Amino acid sequence: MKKSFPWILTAALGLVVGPANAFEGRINATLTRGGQSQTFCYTVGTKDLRIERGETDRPHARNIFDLQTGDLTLLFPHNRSYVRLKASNPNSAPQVPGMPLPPGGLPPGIGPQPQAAAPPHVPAPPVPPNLPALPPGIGPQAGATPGAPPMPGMPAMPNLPALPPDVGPQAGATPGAPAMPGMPNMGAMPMMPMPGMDQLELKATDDTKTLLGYACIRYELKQRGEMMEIWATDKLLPYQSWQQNQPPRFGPRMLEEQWPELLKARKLFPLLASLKFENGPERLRFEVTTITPEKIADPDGQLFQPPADYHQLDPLPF
Amino acid sequence: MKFNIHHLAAALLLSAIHCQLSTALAQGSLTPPPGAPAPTMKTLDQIEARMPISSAPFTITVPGSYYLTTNLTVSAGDAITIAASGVTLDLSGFTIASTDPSTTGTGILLNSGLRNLAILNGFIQGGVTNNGGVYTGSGFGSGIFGFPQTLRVSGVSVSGCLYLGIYLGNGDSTVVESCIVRTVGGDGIVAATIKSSVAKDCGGSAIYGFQVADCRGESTGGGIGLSATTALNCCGFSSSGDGLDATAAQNCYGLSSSLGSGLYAETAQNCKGSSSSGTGLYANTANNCQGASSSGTGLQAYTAYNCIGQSNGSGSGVYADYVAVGCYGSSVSGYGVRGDLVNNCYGKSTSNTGVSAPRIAIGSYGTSTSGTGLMTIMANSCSGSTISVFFPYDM
Repeated sequence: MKKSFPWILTAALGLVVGPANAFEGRINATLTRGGQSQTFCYTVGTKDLRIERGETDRPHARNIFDLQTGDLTLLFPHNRSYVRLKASNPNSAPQVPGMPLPPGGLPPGIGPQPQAAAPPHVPAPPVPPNLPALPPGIGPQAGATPGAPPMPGMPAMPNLPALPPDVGPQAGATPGAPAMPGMPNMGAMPMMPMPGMDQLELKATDDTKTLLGYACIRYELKQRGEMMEIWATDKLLPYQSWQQNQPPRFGPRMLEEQWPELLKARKLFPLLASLKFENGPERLRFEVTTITPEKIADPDGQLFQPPADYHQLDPLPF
Repeated sequence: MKFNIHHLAAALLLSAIHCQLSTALAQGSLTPPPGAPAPTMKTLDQIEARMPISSAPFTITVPGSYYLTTNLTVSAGDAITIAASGVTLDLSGFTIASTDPSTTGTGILLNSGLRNLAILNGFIQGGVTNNGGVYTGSGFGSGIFGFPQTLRVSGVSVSGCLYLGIYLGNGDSTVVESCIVRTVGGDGIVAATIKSSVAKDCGGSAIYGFQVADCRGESTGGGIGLSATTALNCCGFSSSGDGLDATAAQNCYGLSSSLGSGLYAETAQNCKGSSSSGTGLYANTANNCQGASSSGTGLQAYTAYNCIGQSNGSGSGVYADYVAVGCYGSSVSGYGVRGDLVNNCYGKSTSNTGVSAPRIAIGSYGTSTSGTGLMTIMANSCSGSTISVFFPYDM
């Protein structure tokens, strides 16, 4: 047990500092969605990643990622500006923009509350009047663990009245009575999740194949009626999707916006990904077209930096 | 005739009385006040207590009320800097302009953390233009920029800036009302509360705020047309991003000309979204909404109530992850209406299933030219051009 401690420490440090990227070179990929295709060029250095669009129809944004910190620099050629966005913490998956908090935080009693003392200008909440004791099993009860948030107790399930004869399952069915026909094999009823709070899980399968010379494993991602199939490898770099603008925004998140983060957290890069509605046509396809391992030359040090004449802007607030 | 004579007499009498009263009230007392004669005029401060600004650059370091007396133009840098709290700046209908070729200055620059500010009634103008999505020219970098705590900007128009229109940072008490931003390379209006304002031809996100009402935002680039926690009576357009994003959207319209969603919200009520290749309207809960897409899904939601969705491509007309009630959907090669539970819906598809309900369909009708009209496990009181149902009831 003693011997494992240094290993754990080393592993932990490795996670914090982050290793230099193993793959160096260029990756070209195509994303097709709704009949429209976009092409991307990934230029992968030892410490940085640059993603740019192949199309020249308009001045598309360029992305520069610091592979060690996760920081993103968005370059906007259309007005020669750039924005630096800090990663939430080093080497973590990119920030998942959740429900934006209102300025000043959530109202008391709603959601996670900061532990720090309330600012002086915030009046203390009024002391509630003495309320009559709650019935047993309902609401917080006296004698709860100090400091622990009171958990409302679940009221006992009432005894249900007996079903009328021939309706539903009967207790102690008459011996010899014909058995009810078996229900067809239907899928389990899905748990009704809270909207916007679905937990997506990237599941590895036993299927493997080699794509562009890289051994890939097939992963599945399911969300209600949507299914995404991803062939990915861990021999390239953690996937990062191209951002055309600052990522935090309001509203819900679609599956096609979440899968890159799940891959990145597993340090996987997709070579082929396909998103379909159940039994429906493909509505998103990501496919790597070429992978060229090579030493990335950056003699003037500008490949992973904003151009000198670009103006730095503040990121969007909130 | 007799009537007219009486009226004429009454009018003459009233006229005479009025003349006498006017004469009596017009003159003051003929008795002079006691003491030595003294001036009775009002001082300039009494008539106009505000402080004039007649040239730029100008920095306000003392609290008070300021006003412009003329148009101002700078050739470089910032025009007006507010460096004190408790300042009202009235542009008085004049224009603050810049000819700065470096486009790094700001029309009105606010020092950080200031409180009790107001900027009113005027114009901030640069010479930046949009040429096919590329913003170039001389003038200001930003119209109004800063990180104040409390500020109200009202009745101000900003145009022709390379980076930002009205950007008020993350202050929780900033209000922009009745303002116009046009042709800025980056974000148009960024503030906590934005109302009755327009930001158009913005290279970044056009309007971005917490509470946004009666606004319109148009992004020419990858930004979002209008983004807010609550959006009420708003329009958002974007060339390649989402048209309108909101936590809660009501009476809103969003349009994306590319892969973005037209309207994208946690809850959408009485809204419409359209997209070229993305989803027309995407919401957790959609109520009385409409979505359309050329090749993507018309309307997608966890639960859709009384909605209409249309896809001219492979997307579904209405795609409800869980429940669709009272909906109409049509699609060329996707589902007309899809929902785990479909109730009182009408779905139409050319080559796919008109109504697809992986679990239950009630009171619904589906039609398809070459696919199945209605397909479900359990159906009650349903019909279709063709149907595929494991457990039909009352059919």
